[in-house]
Amino acid sequence: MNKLFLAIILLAGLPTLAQRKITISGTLKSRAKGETLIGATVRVDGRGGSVTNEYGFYSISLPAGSHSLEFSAVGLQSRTLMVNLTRDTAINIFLADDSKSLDEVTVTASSKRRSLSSPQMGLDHVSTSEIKNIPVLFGERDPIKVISLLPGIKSAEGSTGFNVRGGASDQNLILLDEAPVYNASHLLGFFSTFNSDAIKDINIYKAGMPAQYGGRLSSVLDIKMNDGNNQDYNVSGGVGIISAKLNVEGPIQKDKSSFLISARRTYLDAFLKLSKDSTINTNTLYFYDLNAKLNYILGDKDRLYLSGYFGQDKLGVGKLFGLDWGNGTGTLRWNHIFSNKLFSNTSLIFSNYNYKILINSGGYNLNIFSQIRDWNIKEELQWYASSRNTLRMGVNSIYHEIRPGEVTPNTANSGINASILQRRHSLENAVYASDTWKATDNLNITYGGRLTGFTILGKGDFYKVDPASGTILDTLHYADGAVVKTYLNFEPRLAASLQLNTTTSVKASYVRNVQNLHLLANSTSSSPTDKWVASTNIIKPEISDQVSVGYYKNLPGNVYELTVETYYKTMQHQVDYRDGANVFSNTNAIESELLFGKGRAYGIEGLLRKQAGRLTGWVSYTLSKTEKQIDGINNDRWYNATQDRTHDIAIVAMYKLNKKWSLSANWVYNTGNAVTFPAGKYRSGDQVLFYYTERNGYRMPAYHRLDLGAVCQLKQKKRFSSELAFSIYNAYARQNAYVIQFQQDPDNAEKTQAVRTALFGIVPSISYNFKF
Amino acid sequence: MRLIPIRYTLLFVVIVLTASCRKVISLDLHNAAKRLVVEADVSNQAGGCQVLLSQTANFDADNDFPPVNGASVRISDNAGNTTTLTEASPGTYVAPSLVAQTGVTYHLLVVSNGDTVSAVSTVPEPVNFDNLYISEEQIFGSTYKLANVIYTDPADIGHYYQFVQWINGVKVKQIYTADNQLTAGRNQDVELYLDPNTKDKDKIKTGDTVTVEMQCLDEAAHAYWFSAEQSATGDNQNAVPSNPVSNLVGNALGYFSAHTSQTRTVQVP
Repeated sequence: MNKLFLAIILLAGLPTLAQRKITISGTLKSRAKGETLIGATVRVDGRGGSVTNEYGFYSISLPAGSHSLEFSAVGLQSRTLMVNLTRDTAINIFLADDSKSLDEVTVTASSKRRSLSSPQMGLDHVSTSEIKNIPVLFGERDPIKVISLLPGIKSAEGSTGFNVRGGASDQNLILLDEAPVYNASHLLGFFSTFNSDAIKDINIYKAGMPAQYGGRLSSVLDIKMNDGNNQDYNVSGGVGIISAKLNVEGPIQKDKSSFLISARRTYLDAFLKLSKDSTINTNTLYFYDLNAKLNYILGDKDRLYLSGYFGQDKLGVGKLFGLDWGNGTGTLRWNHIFSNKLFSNTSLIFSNYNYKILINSGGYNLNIFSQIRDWNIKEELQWYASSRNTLRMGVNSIYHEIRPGEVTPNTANSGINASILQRRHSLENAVYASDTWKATDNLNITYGGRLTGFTILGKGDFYKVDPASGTILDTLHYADGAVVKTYLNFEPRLAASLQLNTTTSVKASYVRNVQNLHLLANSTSSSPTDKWVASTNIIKPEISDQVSVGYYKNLPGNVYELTVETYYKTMQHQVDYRDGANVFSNTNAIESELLFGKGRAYGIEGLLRKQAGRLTGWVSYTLSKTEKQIDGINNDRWYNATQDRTHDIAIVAMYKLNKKWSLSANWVYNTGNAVTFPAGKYRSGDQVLFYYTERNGYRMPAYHRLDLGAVCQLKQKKRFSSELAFSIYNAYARQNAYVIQFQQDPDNAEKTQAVRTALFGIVPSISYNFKF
Repeated sequence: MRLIPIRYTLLFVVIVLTASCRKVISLDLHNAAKRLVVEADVSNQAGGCQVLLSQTANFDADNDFPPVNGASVRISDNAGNTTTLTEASPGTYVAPSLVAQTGVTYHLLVVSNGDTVSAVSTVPEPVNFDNLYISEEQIFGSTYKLANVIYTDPADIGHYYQFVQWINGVKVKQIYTADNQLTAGRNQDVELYLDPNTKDKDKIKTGDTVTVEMQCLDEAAHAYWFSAEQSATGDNQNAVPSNPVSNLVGNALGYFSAHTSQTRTVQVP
């Protein structure tokens, strides 16, 4: 396989050596802030060209002679340069803000267009202006909520995480400036950890993941933070009904270096404190997060970025119970331009997630602590080898340390003993390479692969477990640093696009993904206390294979974009708890509580986007199926996964009424999640228990909801501008079922009843945002 | 470990953040073929040997589960003593003379309508139920009076408990279990939480009489109650719903529990 791979690279590279080419390269930045521009377009002689990479760098090889180069990016003025190329040239470009105000009907796109020619498919982009305008719960702008309005991406109200093309919520690689974020939710999933003020760019890959990404089965959510304005100081902020936020950025040394600090805190707890009732005012409920970034331009060829995130949630019911959790990440990156064709990035990444439960109940006074921590080093080269070939290759090594569970008494006479589970250590290594090859003017192919090695390291005890009963047959002891097992996997990544004409293309891709960290969740809705475990001698790496085919059409006038994609995905070595597993057993031999099986998911997704004009937005529809088969569950038969929904519809509309007002609305509809309901009941110890015959054999009621929003631009002074944002969540007060429970009728012991809990009625909100 | 504290915390978030609303709804649930249900107990108390045979019922039916008559029910021990239970009333099989002995393994054999169901359960060494008292806890918006069970957990791991609570003679429809994986050798004070959705009229009030039975049972019998509490009580938030892990062999739901039983009663101050 590897030899074949090498041969393809050589063959693809050869024909381009023949003719003399000149290379122009450089970095695109915004004039106002000095922010590098990601995915900006460079068009040559009115035709295709290149896009900037994630650091704003581009490189194009052209025949000598005169050419017109057009540089453009969303929301910025395009610039066209006439150049006469005689030798390799560096051209750094600054694009000015689009001064044409929006009271004219804008014709430029409101968000980045998807590319017809690029082989990349299954990629969706969300712009910051969409995040700003789409109405959300409590007016708390949230990129993940906006992403879930796109086809193939599902999230449930009041639940952590999201599901992409049938994947579980732990199968999304969520990266914030390259650092993995293990729990992207605040307050049990009502909000995400991403403060929209600090975010520059969001991409989500549902299929055809490029070879530089790996480690999760279903998707990659790649979020890049703003670098910080290196031209001028900016302060912006906002006050909403549940939170306040402040963003400060500016140059440390103009043109050379800048900083950015963005902070947010909720103040629900302040309202609790206002109560005179001691059962209320002693409770705790808040979260905060902090994003910070520094960047230095060290010269024409070098740039350093240091970025960090820290967020924490704190919940507490009086002194009885507490639950804290939070993520911390740090990324140090060094961009180096070796030559006008070779771009390098080196990253050192740290990531941490932990939670702590505090219990002071009766005779129990204890803490439960769990943590996952990564140290990560990555080196990547982007080689603009020729006008037809762009290569990307890299190596990555991650050291994981998991502390699965640590119970400690916090008073001497607590009724509990300390119980510290063994720490688990592992090393996840990867080497990858891919080539995007312009095979012909109409045919583009990306091919490559990723070789991953996951090494489980001692010290610790590992087990032999009887798969049928879960009984531990043998315990194997490993010394510090001893290799328990290495899993080696090759992940091919193939994608091709064929452009049929100037407005139409078709694409196909195949991708294999491997995942070695697994989130064990026994509950139907996930919680921050779900357990992360690494692969062991028994828990095998999860593997997914996805084939996807798509059709892309720009409708006349280039105002509408139609995307239709279909996929089939299989998943191996899926993990689930046994029936009746003790999730809090605090045992080292977690495998004795687990079962293993497989999954499959398929569907078709349609997205019609209107990208320009007063009215923008999209209609998205997904028809899909997701099933699992695990020996020991549902009599070993296939069953619908919890996240299986047949139909999913989202309609998003944003309307620019005038210079002052912009209005928005979105409506979502989806088939209810698959759920397990009883087929009957019986008596056990003078109490009614429910009798189950099939896993996920029922559906929750269909979910639908309308949200409305309006943003009012207040009077602008020279530097100061402000706005009021109004939103109404669940405008027609649909009582959507969050959970359906079964119980004995409290007023009639002879009867049982089903009780639906709906979380929200109409939720209006208002927030004020300013900038100077 | 008990999940109750986490459940309270989650409920607290839901209460504060949302205007959540509970409503009884009607659902169209499939009906399944009837199955035999066995509730078999032997205890160290006189009259503690009772086997109830009944059938499952449809969800919409009343909670008077159809009894299963005319079965043959026998309990034997490993010394070769076999007791045949007599049907005192329809579906209720008893053997007043059978008093379980510590350390003895009992074998249950039920033959009913051609189905044979068997199970094994061993009476563990009892742990003394030292005291029962009432505490008060303030939980978001209300003050709860709660029963507390006091005992000393033995130092060796492998002890399992079930607590049954009655308020003024009415059994609380909740399952309380404990094991000593994390508590071996420690003095225990176990608060018996009431479900967060308990109506005011069903809470503990001053002047009430609260009775708690402490059972010491074996691992398999405990696993039944533990998993029933996790996943079969209809509250499908802490675990995926499923039937409890049963120690019965054969086509039946239910359990066989050979246990010791101690009971204490307290007047609520």
